[in-house]
Amino acid sequence: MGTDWFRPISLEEALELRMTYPDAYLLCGATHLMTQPRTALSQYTRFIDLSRVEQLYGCHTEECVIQVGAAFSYARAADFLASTVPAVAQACRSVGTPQVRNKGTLGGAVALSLPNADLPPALLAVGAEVVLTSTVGSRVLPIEAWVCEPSQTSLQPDEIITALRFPRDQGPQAYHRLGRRAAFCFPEVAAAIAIDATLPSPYVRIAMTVGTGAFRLLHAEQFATEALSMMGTEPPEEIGMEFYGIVEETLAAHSAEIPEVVRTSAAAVAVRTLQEVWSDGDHL
Amino acid sequence: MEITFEVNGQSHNLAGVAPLESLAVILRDRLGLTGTKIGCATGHCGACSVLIDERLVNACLVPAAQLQGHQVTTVEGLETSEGIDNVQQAFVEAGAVQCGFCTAGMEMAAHALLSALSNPTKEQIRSALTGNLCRCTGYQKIVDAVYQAAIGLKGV
Ligand SMILES: Cc1cc2nc3c(=O)[nH]c(=O)nc-3n(C[C@H](O)[C@H](O)[C@H](O)COP(=O)(O)OP(=O)(O)OC[C@H]3O[C@@H](n4cnc5c(N)ncnc54)[C@H](O)[C@@H]3O)c2cc1C
Repeated sequence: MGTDWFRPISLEEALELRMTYPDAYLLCGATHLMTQPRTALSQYTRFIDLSRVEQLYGCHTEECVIQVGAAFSYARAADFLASTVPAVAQACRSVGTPQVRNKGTLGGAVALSLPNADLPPALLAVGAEVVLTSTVGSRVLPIEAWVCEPSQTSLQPDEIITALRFPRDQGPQAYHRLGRRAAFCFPEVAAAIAIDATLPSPYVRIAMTVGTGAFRLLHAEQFATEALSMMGTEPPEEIGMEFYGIVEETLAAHSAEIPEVVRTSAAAVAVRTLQEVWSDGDHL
Repeated sequence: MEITFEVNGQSHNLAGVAPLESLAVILRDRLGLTGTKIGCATGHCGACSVLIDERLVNACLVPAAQLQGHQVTTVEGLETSEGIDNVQQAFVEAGAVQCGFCTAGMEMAAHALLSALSNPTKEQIRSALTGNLCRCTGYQKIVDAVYQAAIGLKGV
């Protein structure tokens, strides 16, 4: 059986192909594709390669939003977002290896939304949006509405992820992760914290993954937001201790299957991340 | 499928290529460029690192179908008319080669670093080599070699 490999160069062409062949394998950086068992790929006879679609490399900056194309590699996104959306830039810099960061794309990462991946907690903490496009038009989805269940996203069979949108210059942000080693490994635990200092009273958004899929820690957010408004720029040690306890409890309530050692390491990573954003008080 | 692309400045036209055949396999089996090694074939060891349009990638993660029109540089392409280039020379002088399996990938990663940053610190060198494993664990001398190559490039 022959294989058709389509290399659209315009978005219009890519969307037509996607609509005509909804069962085709979509790809961009191919880092995930190439690590799939050949037996799993043998069911595909058509591949739509998005890596030459110029529109997917575009980016633009509006007053409060920065938009980057889905074909941005992690390496390019890390540079491009370094000062405006630092938590996402830091998450991009933490992925795999320089080689994988040069080839893997934001669109691929969002499409996969792997439960232990680097990007999802950072996207949640900064309030990112996913731009999805089909031949009938585009829709913008908050990242929170993107992953419905583990490994189940809201992508429709005629859609392509065309871009990601981020609120820009909101305030201090940080991302930290802990893995078996710094490179090559997906994180065992990761925390992203973003302070939205554009609001009359700054709000702290916190998202984590402990291999479970990224989720927000609302109780910890409330605690950190209140503490920040009362304490000013220097986080006292007691706040760190109390925050540690709240994160650990939240993780225990989130899933009974998270081992204690993972909960405690995750809480420590969260405290470190909070201390970093909090001390970055120039923005507040 | 048929693909046309450049390797080390030379154009190649290959017919009958399977779209998912990896660049690493093409280099070794079709073009006889065996300097590029295949360790894990899953992007986890860096032995197959090459440059595509000057960007460092794992050749095992690049499907043939994506090569059309691109320029690939392998370790064979580092040689100059006077012989091995200064990164390779620094590896020799620092004794940065044990079994040699990771060497080509390490040198390509070093090249990618030095073309972006002419004056790297040892920390930056270590970070640039995080995608390359050395099973002989000879990292210290490899880092020294890249550092020496950088100094040599600056002509200090
Ligand atoms: C060695 C190695 C180490 C890694 N380490 C890490 C790590 O530490 N942390 C981490 O988070 N991740 C890690 N990854 C995973 C990596 O992040 C993903 O492989 C990468 O993001 C996928 O992007 P891609 O463009 O290469 O995807 P592709 O392989 O091209 O595609 C992957 C999937 O995404 C879909 N897709 C791609 N683009 C689009 C689009 N625009 N619209 C809709 N669907 C699309 C495809 O249909 C396909 O199902 C690692 C991968 C490797 C190989």
